[in-house]
Amino acid sequence: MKKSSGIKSLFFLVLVMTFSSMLLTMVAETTKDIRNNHDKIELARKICISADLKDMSSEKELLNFFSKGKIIESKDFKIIDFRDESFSAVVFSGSGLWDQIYTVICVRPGLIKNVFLCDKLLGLQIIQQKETPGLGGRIEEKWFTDQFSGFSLKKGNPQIVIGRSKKTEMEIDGITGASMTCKFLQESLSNCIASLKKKYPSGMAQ
Amino acid sequence: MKKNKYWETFRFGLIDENPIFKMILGICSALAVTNSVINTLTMTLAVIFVTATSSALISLIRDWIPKKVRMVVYVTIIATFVMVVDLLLKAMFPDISKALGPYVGLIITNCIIMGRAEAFASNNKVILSIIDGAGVAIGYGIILIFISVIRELLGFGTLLGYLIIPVQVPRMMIMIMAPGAFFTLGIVVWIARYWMYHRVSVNVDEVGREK
Repeated sequence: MKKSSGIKSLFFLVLVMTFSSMLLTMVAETTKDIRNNHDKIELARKICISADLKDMSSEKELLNFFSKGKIIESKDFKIIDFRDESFSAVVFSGSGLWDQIYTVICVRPGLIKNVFLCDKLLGLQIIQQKETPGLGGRIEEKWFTDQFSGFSLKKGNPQIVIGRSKKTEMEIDGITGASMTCKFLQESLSNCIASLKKKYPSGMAQ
Repeated sequence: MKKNKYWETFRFGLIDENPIFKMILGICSALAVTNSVINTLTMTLAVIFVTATSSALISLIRDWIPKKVRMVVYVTIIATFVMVVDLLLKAMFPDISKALGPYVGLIITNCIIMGRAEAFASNNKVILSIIDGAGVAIGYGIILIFISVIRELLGFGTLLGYLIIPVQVPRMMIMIMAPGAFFTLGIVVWIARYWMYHRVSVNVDEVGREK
């Protein structure tokens, strides 16, 4: 009696989960194209903010701008090269406190004939994050991301400092109460730059 | 008579068992999303959809749900509808979805929905369960919208993004922060409970009979 009750419960659970998976797959597949399009617009918007291109605001303009980018996929990052604007955007991700943090940096002059030149970091923007609201979630705030603008990657990587104010021009003020998120962001940024150097040694060494 | 039963169920969820001022449930989201009216409206619609649909489905299959695993089944059904809402929001209203952040996903843990599933939908017919779920969710939403109107108006000087209070008037920044939400919620619960007490006391005579 007990055994049959257990099997019945298990069978019912499998049935409910199958229904749940089917419904979710159906909704996810139906909305996939629209969501991808929104993601593309959002990425284009973040790239424009990061590269300080203020004249693009409508979705049509952003999609048009994004379509001009040449995409080079790699294992650790994705380069979107905008030769007309003389910069490249590098999209990368790294662990966060709760989930992956997706980030984009814009670099000038960027990728030129298989050589990646990092004279200037135009900016950094967070594309997607699920950090704690009010603490780690603040990595998207303008005052924080603005600190990355204008860095010369020739001198080294920007360092996010936690527990004190920044002392040198290579340092960036961290966020109080979000030391782990700052640490994770620092790691993913450093890993991305290291991967870029590994893939394009001649350009990054300059 | 039937109409009365449906109305009574709806009214009961809306007022007598209002999750915010009567049961003090769903406070986390009530504090988090009420800094703007548009976010609150979206959250309210999402909760109405999830409560009504999950109550309907749970009521429909209530006779077949094994008692031992009923909570797992409820959570799976609720989580499925919440994820459907999340996907639809991301597709149709990406800006609002981003503004609401993790709070849409957190509807899964909202005690109101689980409470209605266990207390009502598991013992009643589909239509009544939908009405009960919708009533409770609308009751939750009305209070949230009331709080959000106060917070957005005093904090930003706007309503649904439209400027209402002139820019020259200083804004109460505390209203868009968590303490502002706590103060407003406390005052709203106080007023609502006072009104409820008054409403009950005028409808019941000295020996407790309804007038």
